[in-house]
Amino acid sequence: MKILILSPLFPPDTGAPADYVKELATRLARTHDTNLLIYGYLPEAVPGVHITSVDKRTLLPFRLMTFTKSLFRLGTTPDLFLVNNAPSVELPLLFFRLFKTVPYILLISDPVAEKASHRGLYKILHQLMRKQAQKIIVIGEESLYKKAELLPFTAFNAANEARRETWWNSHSKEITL
Amino acid sequence: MSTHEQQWQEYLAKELPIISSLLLPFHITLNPEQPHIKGERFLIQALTTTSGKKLILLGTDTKTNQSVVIKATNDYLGKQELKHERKCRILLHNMNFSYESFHSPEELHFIEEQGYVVYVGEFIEQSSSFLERPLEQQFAFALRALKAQERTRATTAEHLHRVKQVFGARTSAEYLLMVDGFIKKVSGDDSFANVLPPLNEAKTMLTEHRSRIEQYCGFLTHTDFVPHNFRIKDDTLFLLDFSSLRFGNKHESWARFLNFMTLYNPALETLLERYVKDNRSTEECESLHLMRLFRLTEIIAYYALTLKRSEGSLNELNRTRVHFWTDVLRAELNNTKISTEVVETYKATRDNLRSNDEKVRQVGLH
Repeated sequence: MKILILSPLFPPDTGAPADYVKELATRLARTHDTNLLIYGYLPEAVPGVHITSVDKRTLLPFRLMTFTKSLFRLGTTPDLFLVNNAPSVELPLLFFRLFKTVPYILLISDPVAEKASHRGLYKILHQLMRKQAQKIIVIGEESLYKKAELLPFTAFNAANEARRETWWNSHSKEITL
Repeated sequence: MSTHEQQWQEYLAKELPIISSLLLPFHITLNPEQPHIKGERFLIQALTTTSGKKLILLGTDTKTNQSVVIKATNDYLGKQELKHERKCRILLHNMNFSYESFHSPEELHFIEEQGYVVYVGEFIEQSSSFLERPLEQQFAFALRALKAQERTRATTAEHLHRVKQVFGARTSAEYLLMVDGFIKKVSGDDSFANVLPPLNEAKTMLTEHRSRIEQYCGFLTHTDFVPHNFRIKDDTLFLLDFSSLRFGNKHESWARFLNFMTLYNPALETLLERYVKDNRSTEECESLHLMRLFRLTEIIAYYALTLKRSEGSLNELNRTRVHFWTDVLRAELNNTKISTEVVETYKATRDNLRSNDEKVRQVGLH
């Protein structure tokens, strides 16, 4: 399957969705043709994944426009979009869908954006996104998907690592089935 | 006593009575013992930040019997620095994109009178200095503080606009320009002919990998993140020097801290390096290596510059420092470690050449 992941954040940027998206792309790239369209500058590399990044250091209207243009360029061939919640991603996608319909899964991976989606204009936008999504998956706690750090004075917790692996396996299946 | 040291003593004799009188209406008296104006303090001036002439003093609030820290100056750059530090502290506590809060000692008074700027803040009592703590605690506190800085990144045009005016934002181009400046500072002295090749090698390395430096720019970083710039009370780490905060490569504070530990606690340096290798991307490891090279070129230039302002044993000590840090730079360029023998020999020479006043100043400092 050809997958395009859309994300507002990606390492070296920090924040909850960044690490999740990198790990998701790494895993999906093993079995699927996976590409990324993200906001960021000089993103960290993921083997086998082509990353298109939109520089956030430009003013908001320009970066929204650039992201939308990139979406039109990259969005014609994928079978599936994986969309991480954020107004800066959702708005270009809704516009794109006026011209082309590609199924998408809405991933609620950014708790800050999720909180913001209950009010104002973003509420309307987000409700539309939810309505049109093929599936909505709420990504839980960071500890579920984020690899536990190896620390010198803390014993490695094999049980936690096994739990994480199980979570990723079922999550990958849920996305690609 | 060197001319610069004599000037410093005259400066103290003139300034201390004035500062005392400025503090009187606030019920603050200066302590009889003032460790932070002794020893090599007269030489210390940061190379890459707006650093002016200022006095760091200890005092007591006679009303509450509370210990306080006083930073006072009537020097133009010094005043700018204290005002800048205050702005940084306030902005940092109010930044909406900062994921982690930074603790600072409470500001008790900020006095602007008779051409002086005087900051009076709470003195943070700590049960032991950072380096006296068990290695496990040192590691935990250092990692927590370094991570807290990393969580603050100015990525959008709006964020950058907000922080640039106050903190300043360093790009890879600026890092390279600074390295050029450091090398120029050292190249004037013929006795440093063997210091220049590793400095130039570091510059080449940084130039070739400038995009790696740029990749991790935009992060909050403390350019002087070393134990004497923070204090620990209970489980809280208080940052003391807010004027050294910049937005730049996130590994700059890591690099300063690790280079410092090469000398003061190699075991902690090893643990933190291991942590980065085990838990961070290859790109991050490379960026940290580059920043360590950058900070080493800076420290070499810093000590080379102090030679003009020092005489006798102190001059000899600073010359030794230049050569020691050049050895560390060579090791870092070769991805190796400087031997324990070299570190110990350097420490013995340093302790032998340090003045008694400086030895007093160093007690419990780190």
